[in-house]
Amino acid sequence: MAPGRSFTLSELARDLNAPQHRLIHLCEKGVIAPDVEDARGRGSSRLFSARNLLEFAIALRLRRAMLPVAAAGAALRVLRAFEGRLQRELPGFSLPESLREDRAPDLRIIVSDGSTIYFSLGRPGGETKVFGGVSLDQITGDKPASMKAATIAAMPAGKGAGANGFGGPEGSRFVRLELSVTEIARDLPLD
Amino acid sequence: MATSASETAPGEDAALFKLLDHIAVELAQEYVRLMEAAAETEPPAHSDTGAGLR
Repeated sequence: MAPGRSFTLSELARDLNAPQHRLIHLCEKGVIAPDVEDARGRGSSRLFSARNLLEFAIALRLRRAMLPVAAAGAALRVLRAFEGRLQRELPGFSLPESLREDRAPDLRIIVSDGSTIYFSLGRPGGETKVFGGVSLDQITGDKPASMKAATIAAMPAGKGAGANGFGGPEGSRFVRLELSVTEIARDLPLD
Repeated sequence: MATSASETAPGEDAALFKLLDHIAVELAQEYVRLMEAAAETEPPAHSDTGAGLR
């Protein structure tokens, strides 16, 4: 169980300006698991953590961009594993609080050409590295995950962009959807 | 009725989970590196002698 404040479904719906059924849908599809208390039949209610609030905020934005539920689930799995790893290396690290600090790097999710998910980490004006990518076909099960795709690319910003200046290090050609997890975390109504 | 795979979270795909977890580890390592680099370049906030406050 995550420490700190807890939220009911109606509080989350109000804070995120989203209908409750959309939040319930994400829970029932296994994208988000309530950190505090899960529903156990009629009359029981779910309770969520601040980390869940961040997860909903990210998943809703990805869904508004027409990404499949499975893509949102994959992105959130990476964030949970990222947090778990950092909690072992940086005492006190937690999402979303640590990303709300002034000196926190900018963590982003990038959807390249509508087909591949990457993550980037960097500082404004500094070097940004890109990690991934994961094919949406792999995530949705339309194509088995291959070890070739497991190769991680880590590239300084500015390298690999197209000749016309479009795209980022990952080499997007036509479409690049970028979502700042850090900015979403800072925008959450937690104060 | 069968549910489309795209309408559920990633299933029990071990290879996919391994890939996602690997990305998380790489991201965490880069996060630590960036935080350490930031700590090295940060000026001292204050000192007892007042040095570094100008």
